[in-house]
Amino acid sequence: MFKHSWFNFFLAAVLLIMIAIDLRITNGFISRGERLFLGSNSFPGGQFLPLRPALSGIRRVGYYSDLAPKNPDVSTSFMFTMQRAQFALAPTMLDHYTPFVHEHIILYLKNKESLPRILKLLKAVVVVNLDNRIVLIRRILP
Amino acid sequence: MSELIPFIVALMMGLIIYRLIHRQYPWHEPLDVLVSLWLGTGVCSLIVFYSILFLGGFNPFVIQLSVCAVILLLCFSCRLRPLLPTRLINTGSLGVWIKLMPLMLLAVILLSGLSYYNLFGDWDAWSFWNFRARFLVEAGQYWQDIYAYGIQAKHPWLLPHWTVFGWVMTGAQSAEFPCFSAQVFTLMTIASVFFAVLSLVGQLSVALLAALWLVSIPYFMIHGISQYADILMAGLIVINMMLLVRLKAQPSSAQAITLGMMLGIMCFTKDEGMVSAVIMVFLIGHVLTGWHRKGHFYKPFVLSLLVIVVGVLLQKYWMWPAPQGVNAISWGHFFDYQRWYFILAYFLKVYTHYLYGGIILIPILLALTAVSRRWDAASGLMVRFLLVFISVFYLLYVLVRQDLEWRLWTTSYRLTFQLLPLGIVLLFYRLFAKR
Repeated sequence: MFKHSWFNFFLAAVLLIMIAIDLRITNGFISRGERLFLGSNSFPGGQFLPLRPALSGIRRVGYYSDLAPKNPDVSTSFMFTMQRAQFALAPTMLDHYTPFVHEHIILYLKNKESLPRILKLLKAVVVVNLDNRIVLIRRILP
Repeated sequence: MSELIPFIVALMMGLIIYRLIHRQYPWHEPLDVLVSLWLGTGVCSLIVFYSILFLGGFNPFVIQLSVCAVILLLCFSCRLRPLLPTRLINTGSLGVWIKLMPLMLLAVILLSGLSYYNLFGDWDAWSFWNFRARFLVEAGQYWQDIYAYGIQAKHPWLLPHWTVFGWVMTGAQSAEFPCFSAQVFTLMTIASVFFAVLSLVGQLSVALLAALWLVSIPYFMIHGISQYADILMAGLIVINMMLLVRLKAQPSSAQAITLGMMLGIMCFTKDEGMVSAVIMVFLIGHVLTGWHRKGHFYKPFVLSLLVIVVGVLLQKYWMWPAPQGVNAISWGHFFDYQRWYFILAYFLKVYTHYLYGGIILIPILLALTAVSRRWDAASGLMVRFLLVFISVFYLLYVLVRQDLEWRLWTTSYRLTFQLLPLGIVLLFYRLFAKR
């Protein structure tokens, strides 16, 4: 099939390199930096799924996290968690820009002790509480 | 293997559309079989889009009915000729497909292995593309909320609509279908590179080598299963460029219609698709000399382009009218030479990483062949496209207001992915084509 011998050599070399590198990746024998390319098999935002029944019929809720409250758009960890929550809770839309204008607010708290303070500040009650870390609250509107 | 059903339906629809346009099935030309598959994918996605738009929400039964109706209508337009010719594929064409099979099998094994760790895809897969599909299916009458409140909802929507189509045809809203789709689109891109090089150079060994290089690039295979729209863009750029090259050799109304529809589908895929389509429309002016002045080209081309692009414009400017601030630019950055240098250095650093499989060789070898070989029409078209595309996005990087390093980190590899297959086709054509 191949007229030139150097072609065969080149093809074989490429093939060997490819198999070595790709099998190395597929077997997971890669460094932490390279691993960043790859995702995972866990359902995105799976920890938020218990909130779904309580959000049935609600089109839009606020989303607040103490991960990066000042500038959420540039915080990778904030956006990562928020967008995974958004995936899990679709079709309810999460509003992370103006979370406190909504009746229902999802809290994702790194500091578990801050929940009572937030409830008092927003005059809200707990609807679903998952270990003080993921909490759906409802504001008591006047 | 129920995930194959949507692709079979799309291929069937694409073949009938091709038959309607060209008065023959594309069995003799493997590249046209791929064109048919892309066409079918785009049209099926549009059917989903219009069914949701006109019915005010997702309705699987109506989508199935619409697909059946369109296929029947197209069959009727083709005067009910059988889809399969007496000989399924002519001997030469079948032989080429068979010779490609070992490589494709290897790619399937690698893609399956990589997907095993990445069922839900990378960040944008679950935050944008698959999230949109999931939302459309679950939101009912409130489907427009995603246009009103979704992040970057203005991006074209072919991939989410294709995923919805797949879920309808497989009967389940599974994570497996988007994952499988990404693998098939990557395989289609590899096959496109193979057949493009084969048709340009005419040597099977060279075409195999080109496709093999693509498969051997770990970054290409890893991003190939990310479930991003870049995968579709990469394949569409190669296919559309080949249609453009063919238009130069054999201008006809049928080629014009096919190219128009394919450019429309590219616009429906990504914003970069719109940029690519605009560049290709300008390149058409260079391709056609004289023949186009008779109106044989532009009338069917514009009409077929509009058929697809109307949906894109509806979605982009009517359903999501809010201004998009993400790509805000600052002209003051234009004179900041450090930004120009930083971008170049960033790309050089990325391309020399071993995961990128030596793609730094592409610009180097192309530069060398630029001196030693003359530019013919086909390579001239490809290099013009690449240069304009790269210049546009280089300038955008220079002018962007956002943190430049973050912007490069999040987007540079996607742009590279989109251009890589065409870059390989061009390089192999320059190196191995007989003059």
